[in-house]
Amino acid sequence: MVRNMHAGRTLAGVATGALILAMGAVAAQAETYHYLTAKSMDGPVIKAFIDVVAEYKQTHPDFDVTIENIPDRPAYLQKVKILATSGELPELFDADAEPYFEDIVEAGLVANIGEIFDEIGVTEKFIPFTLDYERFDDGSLWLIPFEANVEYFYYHKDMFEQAGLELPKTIDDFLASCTALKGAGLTPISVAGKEGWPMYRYLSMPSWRRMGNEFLDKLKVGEESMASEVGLEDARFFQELGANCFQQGFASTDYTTALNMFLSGQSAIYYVGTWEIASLLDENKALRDDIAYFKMPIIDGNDVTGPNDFYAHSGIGTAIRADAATDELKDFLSFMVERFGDISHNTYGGLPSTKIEMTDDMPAIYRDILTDMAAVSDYARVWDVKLDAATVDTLFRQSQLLGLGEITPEQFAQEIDRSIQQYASGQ
Amino acid sequence: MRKNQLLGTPSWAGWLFVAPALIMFTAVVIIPIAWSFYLSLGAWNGLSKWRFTGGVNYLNMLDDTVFRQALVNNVFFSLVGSLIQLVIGMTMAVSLISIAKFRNIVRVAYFLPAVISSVAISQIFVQLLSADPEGFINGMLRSMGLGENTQPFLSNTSLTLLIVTTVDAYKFCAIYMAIFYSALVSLDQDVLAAAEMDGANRLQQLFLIRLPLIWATIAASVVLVVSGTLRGFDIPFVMTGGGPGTSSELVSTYMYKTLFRQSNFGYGSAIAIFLVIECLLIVAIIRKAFSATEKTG
Amino acid sequence: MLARLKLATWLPILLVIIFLIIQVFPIVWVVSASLQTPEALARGPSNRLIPDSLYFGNYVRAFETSPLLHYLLNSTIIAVLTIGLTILLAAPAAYAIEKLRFGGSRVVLNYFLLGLMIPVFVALLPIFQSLGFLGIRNSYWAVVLPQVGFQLPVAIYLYTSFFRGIPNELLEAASIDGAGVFRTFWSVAVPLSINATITIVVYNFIFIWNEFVFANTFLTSDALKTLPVGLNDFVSDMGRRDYGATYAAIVVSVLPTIALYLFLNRRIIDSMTAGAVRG
Repeated sequence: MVRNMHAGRTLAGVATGALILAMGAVAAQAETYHYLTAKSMDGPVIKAFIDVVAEYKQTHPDFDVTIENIPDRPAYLQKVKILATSGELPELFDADAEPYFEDIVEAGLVANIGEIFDEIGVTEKFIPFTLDYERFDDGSLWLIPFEANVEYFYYHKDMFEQAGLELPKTIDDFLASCTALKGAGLTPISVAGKEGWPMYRYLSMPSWRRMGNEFLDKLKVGEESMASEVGLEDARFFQELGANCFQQGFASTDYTTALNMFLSGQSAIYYVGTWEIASLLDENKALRDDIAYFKMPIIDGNDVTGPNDFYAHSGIGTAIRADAATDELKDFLSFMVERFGDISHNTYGGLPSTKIEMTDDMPAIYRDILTDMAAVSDYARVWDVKLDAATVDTLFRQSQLLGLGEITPEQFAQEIDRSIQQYASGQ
Repeated sequence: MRKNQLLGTPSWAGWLFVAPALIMFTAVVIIPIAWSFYLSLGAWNGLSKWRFTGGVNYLNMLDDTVFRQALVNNVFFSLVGSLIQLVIGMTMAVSLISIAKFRNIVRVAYFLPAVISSVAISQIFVQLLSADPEGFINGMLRSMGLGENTQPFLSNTSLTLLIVTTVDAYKFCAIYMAIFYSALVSLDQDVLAAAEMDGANRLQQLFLIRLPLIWATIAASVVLVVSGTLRGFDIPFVMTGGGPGTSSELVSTYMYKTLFRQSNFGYGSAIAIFLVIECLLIVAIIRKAFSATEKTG
Repeated sequence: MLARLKLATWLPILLVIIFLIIQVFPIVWVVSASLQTPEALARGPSNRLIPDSLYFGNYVRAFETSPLLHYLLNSTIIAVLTIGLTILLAAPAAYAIEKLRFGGSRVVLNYFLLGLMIPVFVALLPIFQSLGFLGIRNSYWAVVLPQVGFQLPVAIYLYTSFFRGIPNELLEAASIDGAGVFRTFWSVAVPLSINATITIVVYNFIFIWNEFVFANTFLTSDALKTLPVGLNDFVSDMGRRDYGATYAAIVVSVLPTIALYLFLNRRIIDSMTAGAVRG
């Protein structure tokens, strides 16, 4: 069956190819929207999205969305930039609320999602932090969130037992558990240092506990320095993680490898968001027996943010091209907000951005996560989204070096500050 | 100067032969370069209006520590990479003509790394070089009793550049093997037979007769290999992303990041123009050097 | 003397064996890795060269996730068109530059050689826009034409160095026999240059077959995806990659290339023995 389908597609491809050769490009059909996405085709978001489109088509046969997917993020971003520069953005595309997307908004290329959501009356249907995460600092919203994520430290229970460990409550406990795990001959943490974000999450924890988002907000505009006491605390924490906790050669480990290390029991702790939840469940949709999790540790009782506050976000959002926000699409959006959460969660086990009802037959882990989400009063902003791209590049390089012990926390701070200064002075 | 023009060929015929290629090449390669030069003289994020800034982008390069490191890395990458490719390529070709049987199949086997895509070969080597979990190479070192040499190769800032250079050279050296091999087999057997009768041994034959005879091919290959390595991109980009830090950053990977991650089209274009000029200069020097040896030789 | 003779015989064989091991190694590794179960691969990179299991699930998954044969077809069409067009444009141009030596031919050659130095990323944006202008974006030509542009310099460069080796007398004899400039090129120079053509095909094919950036940027329809772009079908959210399926797809994408090289090799040997080219 599968083979037949492919043969069919192959033939169709040849035919289309031939046709295109003869006629040049195919003209876009009316009422077909093109969606360029960085999300995975086999994840709950896109699967549910496709189902929603199919349902909507039953009553609106002319409506269609074609999906183009580039899961490799650098390749995706490159393409979006080329498209934006050429003035040929597709009707729907994915973006984070980062400075470059701010430029896209300023150029008037995308529709104001906040206004559309108010107009069609769906704002209340979303979990608030999922919308907030996609907002700019001025509170405006230009992106549709599809998922709701919180990030935990997952750990192997037997390894903690073996090392005689309790759950770490504070950051000092956390560092001490690394030492204990290492002493027991285990790799304490696996981290994907080849990707930037897992490093920045660790890096930002102390300052977020001490100052909340104020630190990042001020750092970004040059009002706070990485060389300040709080900033250096971040840097020292990360350097210690690099020296004592991370797997050997963490700077060249990719996402898959770091995750697999944890899943196959080669590391004790792994930090990840709930988008990866499916990998951590057993066949009964319960968290694997040997795995448990804890939230971001605190520093002490003087923290600005509480133990229930941690990283929560909605992943990469989706923008609508300004001229594509037609009444038809708005109608589709309100239909989608109605249906998406249900399909995403119940059919594909995802955690959608829209509120879903907590039921008794829901697996325990999902209920716990939803409870945790509801308990968040302040959530941590993501560094690689808030900072400008040049600084993120510097941050990437310097974090690797810091974690490998090749530079001091002071040198690290100096490089980051310089990069931010450069950006701030260019604005 | 040899007069090569064939008898009675009008000049317009030459232009006619060359015109299609000329048009295609100009449209695809030269116009974009001109456009990049224009972009390099201003600031542009791809969305706002292009703003003329003069030579600021070029001046900024001077203070840019990452760029300077990338430039130094690039020199190493090109020099060492070219050398490896030429020497290994030549050794492969010579070893191949020295065996009597199985040449055909051996040649295809030699070619295998070249036909695997760069992305794939990078992924394979990342796995081979992995430290934790242990990859093939570290496992090998340990089982051979060289345990003290096991290490996270791709996180060692003093090794990453050498590693990406070697992998890149490894992938492409078979191309030069093929070029040298074709040149060596097409040599006149009579000349070689005469040399053998004069009592020249294999090595003498190689260095005194064969290599000088294919000197033009070698010169052409040097130009190809140097310009190829100067533009090297995929393998460092996939294997290390230029890191850790700037340890394996090349001018081309840095340019890519500037253009498509930071959307700094002005500065990125300036780096591109710099790369073009750098290539031009280096290749011009090589060609000068070779034409000089050709005249004396 | 005897020892020397032995060394001269054995050294090349030894070298060949060493090179063979090194060159074949990644393929053996990736074939072996592609036959391991996902559980085994999750434990870490494969350290085996002889697979301990013969698990074909990776191949099944690779073909289920991704229409690999279709990508193979696309890659083939693009490679054939690109190489064909490159040869078609490069051979006459190089012939004119090297043999017709028209006024300005040196300048033209140097102009082409500029192309050896130009990184492709520079050209992405302008090419993207002109393809849109020509209305051929999202067709095979969108990848073929830019690649031809970038392959031309190497092809012309190799052809000119080759044509230099053809004695002018041969060509002049033909034209004295009454053949016009086109016929001389077509019936004398082209048959003589079969060897150079094969070298150029071999050289360009490597780059064309593995081309990623143009295909990723200029094609938006799944129906046109090439193999290198298709390798990303096995990446899911946050860059998580199905390594088993990736290895299987790598093996699948390499096989046709090996077949082509075996075929071309035969061709080269044939042309050699026929004595078609003698410096």
